Amino acid sequence: MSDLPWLLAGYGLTLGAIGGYAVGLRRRLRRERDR
Amino acid sequence: MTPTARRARTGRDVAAVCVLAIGLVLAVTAPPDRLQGDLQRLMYVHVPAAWTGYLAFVVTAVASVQILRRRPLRQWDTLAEASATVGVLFTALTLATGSIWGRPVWGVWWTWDARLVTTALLLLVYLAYLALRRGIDDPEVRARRSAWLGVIAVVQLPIVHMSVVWWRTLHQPPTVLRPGDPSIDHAMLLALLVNVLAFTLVAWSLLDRRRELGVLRHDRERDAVTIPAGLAVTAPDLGTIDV
Amino acid sequence: MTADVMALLRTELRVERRTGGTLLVLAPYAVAALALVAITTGADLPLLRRLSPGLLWAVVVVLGVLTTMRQGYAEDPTRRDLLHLLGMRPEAVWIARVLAAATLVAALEVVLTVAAVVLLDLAVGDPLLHAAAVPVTALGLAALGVLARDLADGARSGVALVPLVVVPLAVPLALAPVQARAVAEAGGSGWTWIALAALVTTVTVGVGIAAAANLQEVAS
Repeated sequence: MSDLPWLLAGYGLTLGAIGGYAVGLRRRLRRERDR
Repeated sequence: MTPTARRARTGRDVAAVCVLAIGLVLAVTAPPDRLQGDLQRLMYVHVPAAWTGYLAFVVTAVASVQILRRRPLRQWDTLAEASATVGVLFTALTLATGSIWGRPVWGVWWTWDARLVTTALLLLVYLAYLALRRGIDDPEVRARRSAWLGVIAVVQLPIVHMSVVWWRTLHQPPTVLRPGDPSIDHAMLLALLVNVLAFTLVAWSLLDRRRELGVLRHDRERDAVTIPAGLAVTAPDLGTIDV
Repeated sequence: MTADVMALLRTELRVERRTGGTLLVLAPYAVAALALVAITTGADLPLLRRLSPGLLWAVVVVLGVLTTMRQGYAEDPTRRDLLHLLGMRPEAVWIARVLAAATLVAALEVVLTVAAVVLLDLAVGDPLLHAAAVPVTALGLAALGVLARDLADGARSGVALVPLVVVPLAVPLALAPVQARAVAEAGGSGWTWIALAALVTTVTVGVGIAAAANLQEVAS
């Protein structure tokens, strides 16, 4: 069993989740500021 | 926000991204583990995520104490909430990466490792904390009650962890997902520490932004109440999933 | 203050006996839960016997928390305000409520023990250990439950919140009796585990007493 898919999954999930949350936050902040 | 503060914040954000990038490089270039091979590199995200999750929880607890000491809610309640949401993110990541690490190495998606169990329980408590907050509209009541939950949780969770560790040492040989190996290679240790720092900085950035969001909402709520027509004029924020 | 606590406790238990019926509903439900486990696992008695201590105390925690959500005398916030106005200290009210709930949980534990002996072929082990485990865990669970209830009082989805808050923190209360028994069987002293459960209970009661007055202020 190759290790690479698991490593990609782990790192991808981590970076994706953090990045996604950050992007979502920016969007929400902008919306809130424009209220 | 003052220009100095803004500059400091940008500096911190840039540093966070840079250290994260360095951490990534180190994680890729560190020597593979003797037993687990390359899979062991998942430790460089799993452990920092766990550390960050616990840290966020402690921040929530500290902020909770301040709330109970009648410090301003605009400062401390927003911190407590923001820290809890960031904590949920990293705690969930801890469990997910632990699972992804465990499956190829030991063939199971979950090991009843004491630390994993405590982390899972921590996540449940966080979720209860956020659910409690979502369920209360009055800002003062919400702050006070969630603060007590924050306090009782931080006091009890070490005892819970102790009981789980004790239980596992009685019934299982010392486990596996253990990065605290005394013979850890220096390059691996460096990679681990840099990633811990990276995650801490990243979490701090997220926390800061999330708290800013909370402050804006706090101000909007406060202003809505002082305007005579108040909430009848402002559209009620029934909220999206608030994380 | 002790007189207040005893008076309120007597009232709570009287109300429970006359109109409550919390135990009357929860005890059969808990026994049904145990029975369900036996049924779904194919009623393999040797297996059940091995698992029975764990199953017993898991059901105690998961269902015991529901007893703390009962309708009682002082469970009504309006009545608590009244008691406050009449000069009863919030801590005393809290203690009385917890003692009442603990009584019910203890009764549930006794019923469940009997059910486990019958349905799952549970061997109780050291009766002294088991007897000590009952009040310690009952008090701890009651304290956690009443505290959680006050936090969730009036909140949306408060009903589901109380068990969610209690169960993770009650893990040591479920672990301790099972491990105490296992350790005793292996020749060690199970009392250290009972002491751990007592620690959880003491801490919870301490926080609860500290929080009682504070939460009363913002009760809405």
